[in-house]
Amino acid sequence: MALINAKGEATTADVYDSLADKLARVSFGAIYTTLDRMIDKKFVEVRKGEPLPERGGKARNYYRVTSGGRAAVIETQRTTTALALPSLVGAAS
Amino acid sequence: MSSRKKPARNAPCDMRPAMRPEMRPDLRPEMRVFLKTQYDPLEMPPDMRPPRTVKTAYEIGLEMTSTSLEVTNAAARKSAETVGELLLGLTRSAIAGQKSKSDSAIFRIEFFIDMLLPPGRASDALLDLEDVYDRRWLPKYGLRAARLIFSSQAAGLIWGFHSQRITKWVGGTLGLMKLYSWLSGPRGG
Repeated sequence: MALINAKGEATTADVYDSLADKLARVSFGAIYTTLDRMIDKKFVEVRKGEPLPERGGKARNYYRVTSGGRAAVIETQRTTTALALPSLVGAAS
Repeated sequence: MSSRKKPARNAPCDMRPAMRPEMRPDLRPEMRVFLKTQYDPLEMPPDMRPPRTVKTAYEIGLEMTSTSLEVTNAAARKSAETVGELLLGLTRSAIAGQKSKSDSAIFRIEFFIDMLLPPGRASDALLDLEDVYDRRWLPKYGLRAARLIFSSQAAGLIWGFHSQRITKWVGGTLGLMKLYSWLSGPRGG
C-alpha cells in the first residue's frame, strides 16, 4: 500500500517513512522480507538505480507495484470487506 | 623503370644517411660544414638559401611545431584542470563521507552490514539506513537513541535476510525428505 501511495517508484526509506507515520514500530528487516516475497510473486518490480557519483558509489534499489500487485491489493480489500461487513453490521444493529 | 620519386636536392627531410655529416666521422671539417649548410637552409647565408618552396616548407614546419607545442600545453593545462576537478570532487566526497561517518559506532555497524549481506542488498540497505538516520532518527531522538535504533535496525536486517534463507533451505530439505520417503515407502496393498 505504501508503494501504491508513492505513485511510481519508491525506495525502502520512502516505504519506511510512510509506515513510520502510521505505525509505532517498523523494522527495515520486515520491509525487505515482505518486498522480497512480493518480488517472488511478481507483485513488485525492482530496478537498480545509478550509483552515487563518488568513489565506490553505492546504488539504490527502486521498487514499483506491478498491475498484478494492484489487482491483488484490490482483491484482498474486497474479500476483507465482504468477510467483515456482515459481522460489523450485525454488531451495530 | 623505377616508380620511386627522386628527392629534391635541397630537401632536408630527404637527406640520405650517407650524406648526413653526423653519420660521417671520416669527413674533413670543411666538408662537414659544407654538408651541414647545404642541407640545413637555416644555417645558410641569405644568398645561398634554397628555393622558396623549401623555405615555405620550413616555415610551415616551424609553425606546425609551435602549434603542436601550444596544443600540448593546452592539453596539459586542461588535464591539470581535470585532475584538479577530480581531486576536488574526491575531497568533497571524502569530507561528506567523513561527515556522515564521523560516528565510529555507525561505521562499525556499516562494516558488519557490508560483510554479512550480499553486495546489492548491502549497498541499498546502507543508503536507506543512513538516509533515515540523518533525516529522521537523529533530529527526533538524538545521537544516543538514534545510534541504538540504527544498530537494532541493522541487526534486524541481517537476521531477517539470513532467517529467510535458512527457512527456504529447511523447507526445501523437508520437501526432498518427504519426496524420498514417499518414493521409498511401501506401495499398493
